[in-house]
Amino acid sequence: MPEQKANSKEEIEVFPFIEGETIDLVAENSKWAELICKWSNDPKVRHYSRNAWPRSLDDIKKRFETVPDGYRHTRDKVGFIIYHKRDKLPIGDIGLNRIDWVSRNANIFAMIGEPEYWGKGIVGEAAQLVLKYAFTELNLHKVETGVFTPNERSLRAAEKLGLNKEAVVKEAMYVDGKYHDIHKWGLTKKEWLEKNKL
Amino acid sequence: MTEEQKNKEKEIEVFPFIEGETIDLVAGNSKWADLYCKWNNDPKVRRYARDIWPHTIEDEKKLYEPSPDRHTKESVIFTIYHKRDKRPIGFVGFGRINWVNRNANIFATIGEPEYWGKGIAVEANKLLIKYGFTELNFHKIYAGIFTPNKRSLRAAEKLGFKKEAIIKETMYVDGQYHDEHKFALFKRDWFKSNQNEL
Repeated sequence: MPEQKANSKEEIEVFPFIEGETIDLVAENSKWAELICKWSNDPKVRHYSRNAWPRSLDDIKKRFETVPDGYRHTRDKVGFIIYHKRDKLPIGDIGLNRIDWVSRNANIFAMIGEPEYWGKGIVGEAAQLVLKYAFTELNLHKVETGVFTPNERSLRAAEKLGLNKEAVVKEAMYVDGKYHDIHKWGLTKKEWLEKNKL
Repeated sequence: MTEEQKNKEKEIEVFPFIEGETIDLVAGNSKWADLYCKWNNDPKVRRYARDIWPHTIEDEKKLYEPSPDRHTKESVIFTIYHKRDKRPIGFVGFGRINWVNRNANIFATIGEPEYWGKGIAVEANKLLIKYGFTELNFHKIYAGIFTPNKRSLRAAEKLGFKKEAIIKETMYVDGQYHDEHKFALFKRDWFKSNQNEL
C-alpha cells in the first residue's frame, strides 16, 4: 500500500455523514488534500472525470476556505468523500454541483480516485445515497448528469440508478483528440419516489 | 427635503425590476445610501421596523457591495420608487431565505412618513409576493408583526396572510413586552386566489 494511503488511514478520524453498506459518505477533510490532488491529476482518473487542467495542491486547499458571512447556509455545491468501510480508506468523491435553488435541480458527479475500486458497484451505491439526500433532505425537484459516449461504465451506472436518458447532445466533448456526444440523464423526485416505492 | 437631496435623487437613473401602478421595485443603489441612512435612523420609521441600532452611512454602503461569485442570495431587497413623484420612498424584500425549506420572511418599510396610509406597502408587498411565488419558487412566505403595529396587521390580512401563532411577550418595544403575531401565506393558496394574475 502506498505511503500516502497509509497516512490518510492512520491519522484521520472519520465521522460518517451518510452511512451505506460498503461505503460511507463523509465530509471532506483538508488533511486529504494531497490525496484529492492525486486523484484529480491522475491520467486514468481524469480521463473519465473530464478534467483537462492540472490541479495544484493550493487549488485543492482553496476548497477548504471558509464561506463568507451571509452565505453560510446556502451552497451551490456539496461534495463528500467516499470512504471504504472495511478497508478504512478514502477512495473517491461524489456530490451535487450547479445546484439551482430556484428551479431546484442539480448535477450529480462522482469519481473513484483509486482505480482498484472500479467496477465494484461503489459509485452506484454512493449515488443512491446522494439521490436520497438530494430528494429527502435538500428538497430538490430533479437531479441531472451528463455522460460522454466512451464512458461505458458511467452509462451503465446511470441506467442502473434508474435515470432516464433525455437527450444526446452532439459532439459536445473533446476527449483524446476526438469529439464525443454527451448523453444527458435526469430523474425527477416523483420518478425516484415511484421507483423506490416510497 | 433639502435642495441637495432633491438634486441627488434626480441624478440617478432608475431601471425598474418589477413594475407596479403607483410604484416600481428597483435594485438598491449605493448613491441612495444617505437616504437609506435617514430612513433607518428615523425614530418614527424604526419604531415599526424594530431597528434598535444606529446605522452609519458606511453600514448602508456595505449592503451594496457586490456579493461573492456564484453564491445564492439569502436575502433580496428592492427600493420602492414612487413613479409620479420620481423618488425612492422605502424598501421591501425577503430576508432569511431558506432554499431547502423554500420559505422566507417578508419585510417592508416606507421611509418617508408622508407616504404612510396610502396603500403603498400593500402594493409593494403584492408585487414582491408574486415574485416570490412565480419567480423564486417559494413554498411559504411569512411575517412577524408586533401587537401595536395595527397598520401591518391590517395589511397582512388584506394580502391574504393567515395568522399561524401568537408568540407571547417576545418583542420589547418602548419599554414594554409585546406579543408577536406570526402570519404566513402558502403558494397553493396564493395561486388559488390569484388565477387572473398568472
